[in-house]
Amino acid sequence: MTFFDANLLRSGEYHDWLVQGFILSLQLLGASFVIALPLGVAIALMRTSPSAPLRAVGASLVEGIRNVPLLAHLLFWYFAFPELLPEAVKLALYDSNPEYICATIALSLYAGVHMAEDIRSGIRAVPAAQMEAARSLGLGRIAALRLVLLPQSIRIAVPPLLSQTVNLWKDTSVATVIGAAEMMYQAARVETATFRSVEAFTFATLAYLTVSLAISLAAQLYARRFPVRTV
Amino acid sequence: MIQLDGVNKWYGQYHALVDVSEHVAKNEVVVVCGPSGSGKSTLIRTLNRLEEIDGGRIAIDGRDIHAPGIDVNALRAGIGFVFQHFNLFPHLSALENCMLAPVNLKRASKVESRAYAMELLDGVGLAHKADAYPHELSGGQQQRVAIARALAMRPPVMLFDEPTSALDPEMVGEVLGVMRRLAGQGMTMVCVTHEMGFARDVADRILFMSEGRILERATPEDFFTHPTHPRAQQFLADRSGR
Amino acid sequence: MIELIQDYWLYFLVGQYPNGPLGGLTLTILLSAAALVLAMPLGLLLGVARVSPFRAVRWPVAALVQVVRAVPLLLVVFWAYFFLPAVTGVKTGQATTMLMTLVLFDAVYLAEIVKAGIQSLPKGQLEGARSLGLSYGQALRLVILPQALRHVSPSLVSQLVATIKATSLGYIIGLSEVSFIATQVNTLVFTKAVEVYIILAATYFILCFGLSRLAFLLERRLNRRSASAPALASVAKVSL
Repeated sequence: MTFFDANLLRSGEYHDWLVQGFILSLQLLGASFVIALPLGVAIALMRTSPSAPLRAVGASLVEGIRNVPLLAHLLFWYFAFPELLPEAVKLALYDSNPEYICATIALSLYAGVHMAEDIRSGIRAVPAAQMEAARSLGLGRIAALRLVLLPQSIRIAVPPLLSQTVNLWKDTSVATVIGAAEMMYQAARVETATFRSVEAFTFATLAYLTVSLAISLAAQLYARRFPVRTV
Repeated sequence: MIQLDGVNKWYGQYHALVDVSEHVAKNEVVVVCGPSGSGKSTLIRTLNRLEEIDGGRIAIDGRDIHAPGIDVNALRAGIGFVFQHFNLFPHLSALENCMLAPVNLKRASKVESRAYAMELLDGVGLAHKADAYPHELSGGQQQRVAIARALAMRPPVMLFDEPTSALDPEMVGEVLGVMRRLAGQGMTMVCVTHEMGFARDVADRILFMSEGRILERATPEDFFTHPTHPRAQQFLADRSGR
Repeated sequence: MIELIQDYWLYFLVGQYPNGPLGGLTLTILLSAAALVLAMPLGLLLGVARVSPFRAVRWPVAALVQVVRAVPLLLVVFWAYFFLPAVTGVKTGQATTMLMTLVLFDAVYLAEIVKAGIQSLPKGQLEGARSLGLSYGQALRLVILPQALRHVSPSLVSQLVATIKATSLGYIIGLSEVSFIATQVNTLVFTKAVEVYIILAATYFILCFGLSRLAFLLERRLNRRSASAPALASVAKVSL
């Protein structure tokens, strides 16, 4: 029995399992990111709005979601949430892909509030004078936000947002707890089937490392290409 | 006491100190002045090796301070250094600031250190602030504590790097007063300063530096009344606002 | 919901103890606190190494930190739980495995916190200490670290919160921490999933939000302290 059987990783049934897991992890990342980012912008705008009730709602969402571990969120959305749905919807959910759907909801919310905080920092980093200048030109609040504030905020927020994306990527691993057949699930499955942990976990480690490093590299390139310019 | 021979230093391409040679005798008070960027701070920082040199020799009390195997910490313990920005330790009281080095370098027992530190604080007029923390003291008070802290190690020589440049004008006097008293007690001092009044009254010699070189060496009287080097003349003319 | 709490509060709090190993909320809290405390010395060491003037020390540590942070914590747990016993021959229990993993996780993040704390100090602090004749080690111990650690105390509390959340991963290897117990209760009762998981979420919320407020208060207190200090002109930061 060799210490490291690379063939296990190159072809065969176990290889397929691992690749499928990797693909599902990427799908979870993609779907959650696409929901989390706009959600983050919306919550950040709520928290910086002049309306006190809106600010309170935003703050409650952030604190409520942030202070509960992702695992607990996943358990809630998978075990508790379906019970709240009308019978027909619940059955439709179970018929499709409940693990994937519930994981995506949990991940989107969790990542969304963290991104909201980074975007909020970006908004606060832009001097108030910018909005004043925009409004004094006659731009309405929405237009001023869209044309002057948000573009500057986003540029400042991109590096921390990419860092949150790396966190989201790593967080997809926790979806295994509700049985989503992502990377960790498959790696554990291979380990159970073959009693060989090294190859499976090495595959998983490399998979996570490469995507994390790719995202971090994107962050560095972005910072170099679009440096933050203050007056 | 302090001997510099052909000292050279570069920052990358920039030649910061150019063939500097000088001697400071025991009990002498030497003031180093010159325009900004002349290398005066760099020079004084090479004396306790806060900056390293690229050529030449520096000896203190006859011993080459760059000799292989020399204990840099012991060297520094024997030199008192006062910074422009005081650099007091904010998490310790004035008294504790003064006691830190003597106690931890095993120069004296805690009891002896405390007694001597109180004596020094009293000497700079701050015995009543012994238990105050730096953030509770004014700039002038902090600098006086910094001087007491440097003196607590009983060094034979004191170096001052623009000690009053970071102070509000009304506090400059109290710090210069302490320095005058030290000079009067016979301490060997090298001071980088812009305070020409102090230089005129207290210095035994003035060194004028520009662009890394010592361009003029003179007694205060000679320096202020008839400087020989044109750069020195320009410097003094600028300072008196023509 | 009230009957639920009444029937299961003890189980939720301490797991099967004393009829079995300690579990539940108590395990979660103890595990987190222990991990943070044990990680401090390692984190301090790594943090100081991160700012070392010697490249041979700085780079390997930087590489280690980058790798550990690029990989999910769950993967590290799996390596420790499945792979390590095969190599060392010692089968560690779930709690021990989680503790080891959390110590590594915390040490790496603590290293960054310590590094930031050290680098936030003005350069003159180290120079002041060294000009008195103190060695590098003495300067670190007596002047730099006492200040740096005080400055980063809010971040230390935040790291405790992160650790508490991280203990939930123990569920996946069968550790009886509070999330696992909640699911056990759910399986027993079966019809009250919503109540069970709301109670779980509320428990975490009270604990973590409470600690976050503490961190916030600490930060405010620190800012007030430094605001009263006389402002210095441009002061260069410590690069050691």
